Amino acid sequence: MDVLTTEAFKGLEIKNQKAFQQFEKCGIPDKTWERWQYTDISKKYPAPKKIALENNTEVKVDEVPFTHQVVFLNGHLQNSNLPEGVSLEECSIDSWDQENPMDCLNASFCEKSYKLNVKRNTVVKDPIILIQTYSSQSEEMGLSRLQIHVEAFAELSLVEYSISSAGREFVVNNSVRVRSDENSVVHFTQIQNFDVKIKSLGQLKIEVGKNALFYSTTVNLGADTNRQNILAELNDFGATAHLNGVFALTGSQHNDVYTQIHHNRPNTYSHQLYKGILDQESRGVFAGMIYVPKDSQKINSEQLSKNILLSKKARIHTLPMLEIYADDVKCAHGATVGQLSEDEIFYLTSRGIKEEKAKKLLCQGFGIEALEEIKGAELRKWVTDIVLKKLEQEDFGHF
Amino acid sequence: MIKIENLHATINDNEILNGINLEVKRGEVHAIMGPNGSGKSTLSKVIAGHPSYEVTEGSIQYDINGKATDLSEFEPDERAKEGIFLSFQYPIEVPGVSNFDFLRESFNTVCTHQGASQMDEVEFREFLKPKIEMLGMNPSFLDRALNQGFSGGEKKKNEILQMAVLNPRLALLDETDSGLDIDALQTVAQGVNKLRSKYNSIVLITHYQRLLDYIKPDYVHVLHEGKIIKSGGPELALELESKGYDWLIN
Repeated sequence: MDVLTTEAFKGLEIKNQKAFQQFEKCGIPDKTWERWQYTDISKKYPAPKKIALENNTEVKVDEVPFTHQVVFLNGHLQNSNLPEGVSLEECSIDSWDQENPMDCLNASFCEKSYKLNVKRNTVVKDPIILIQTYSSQSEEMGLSRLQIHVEAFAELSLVEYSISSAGREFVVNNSVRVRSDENSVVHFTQIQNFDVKIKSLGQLKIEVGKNALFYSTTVNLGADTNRQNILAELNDFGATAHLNGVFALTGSQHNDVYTQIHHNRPNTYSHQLYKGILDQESRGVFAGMIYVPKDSQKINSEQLSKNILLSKKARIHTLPMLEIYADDVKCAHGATVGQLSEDEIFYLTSRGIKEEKAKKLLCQGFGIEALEEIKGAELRKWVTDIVLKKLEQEDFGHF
Repeated sequence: MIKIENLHATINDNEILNGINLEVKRGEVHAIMGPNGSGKSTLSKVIAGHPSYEVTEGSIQYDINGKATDLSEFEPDERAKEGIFLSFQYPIEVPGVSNFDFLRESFNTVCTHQGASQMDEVEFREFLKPKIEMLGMNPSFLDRALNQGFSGGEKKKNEILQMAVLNPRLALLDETDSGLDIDALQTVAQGVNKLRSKYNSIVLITHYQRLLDYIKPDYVHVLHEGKIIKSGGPELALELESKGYDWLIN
């Protein structure tokens, strides 16, 4: 495959010149970029010939058992049912992450951008499911862009569920920015369950305000190649971010999660737990950067990456990173890579459970720990079942 | 029920079992005692089919449908389905898998194999109720992750609960008494006694006479360096309690 260059995008209709200039300035990441070294975009992603629009075929969505839903097709709003205090409207694209070329790319070509606003003091008990569907001809690029603003003292659980049409190779690029204000509590769960031909790029930027709690859970199951950037800015005293995630990969799937947590003020807290389950010849990457500037004292930050390799050919690169300039902080990080233990398998098989099923149960148990902070038993079960479905897949667990 | 002849077994090329001969008939309770490292736990794991151990010589014949069957080709799950149960000395913690789901999965798998009908969640909860009460367990344990965060005693009770659920024909109880206080020991022993019948057999592995005060064995065997060096009736256990093992070994 040819090397992808910014030049290749000039045939598309540029919607935002400023963003495109920045995209050109950044260039396309290749393996010489430290933060992208394991996912060489320039070689792995094809040059799109067109932007996928909403007149493409609808994507069939399995039943989602929650009332509050918003459906998008290639980033265009299709329908929505939102509770009181929560609104959704189209908005202009006026900010993007200038250091992230993939977000600049998204902002350059995105046709529609939406803003979801959650009013001050709004407390929504049931989850809101944002269903992002992408359907495309080959050689197209599906784009979506969403801003979420949770005003002070509001509390809610949001889920972004991303799926695609099957059988065609195309690129999906999704950007989400969330601002959560003073004393808000936000649970944000992202489930990526694309067809295995999709090349996916995801950006999530979180800005957490004073005494606000933000729980992010990311579940990556699908796509041929997926690169996800998560940037959390802890902008005021007491801001707390919990970033959890699980990925389950098989075949030749490649999944790269890069998290950055910026403790921009003193007394901010972060906690991360990422779990990887890798089978066959899949590749996983977890890189996590915790950044504590000089004046950010009394920080508490924990990061843990745990991985299970189910086959000799599966690989995981895990890189916990700390950059600390303050002197009164508590930061811990760790990474483990292992296999299922023979004693654990024997325990289950000695109770009549077949070896293959026993291994699946152990993988399930391993992965589910990263889903514990999803709010509400019903939602947690729904997400867990989606993960289990992947583990039950025929090509998973060729032990 | 089970007949073990000249059984030799190794792990990582170290020979642990060195010619075991043992026959346990239907309805009998046998106790296996012996110093640390004598091969007691290995014997139980080899019978249950632990893949880390290799049987290098000898055989294990187990009664399946009235026929003595060589177990060597049976996987651990197949042995369990045929009614062999091992209560672990150190039960494994499995996060993310609920105790209830695990018990039901295990029960239904074994039932299906034995031609009995499966139970749905409601029926199975009812089925478990008296068993949990018998063991003095808090029902909330059912909805916790399998053995995760259980105390030593709770783990052992949970093993006996599994035994009660699966109703095995041959139960191997590996140091079920270790880590139990007197009250818990009595409860667990009562549980085992309730499951004891003329149709099934029990092999108790223990260091202490204490357990045998509650579960009366028909035979006692002493294992040393992978071999049974002495067999006798229940009085042998009392003798070991007062004299230790040295008089047998030297």
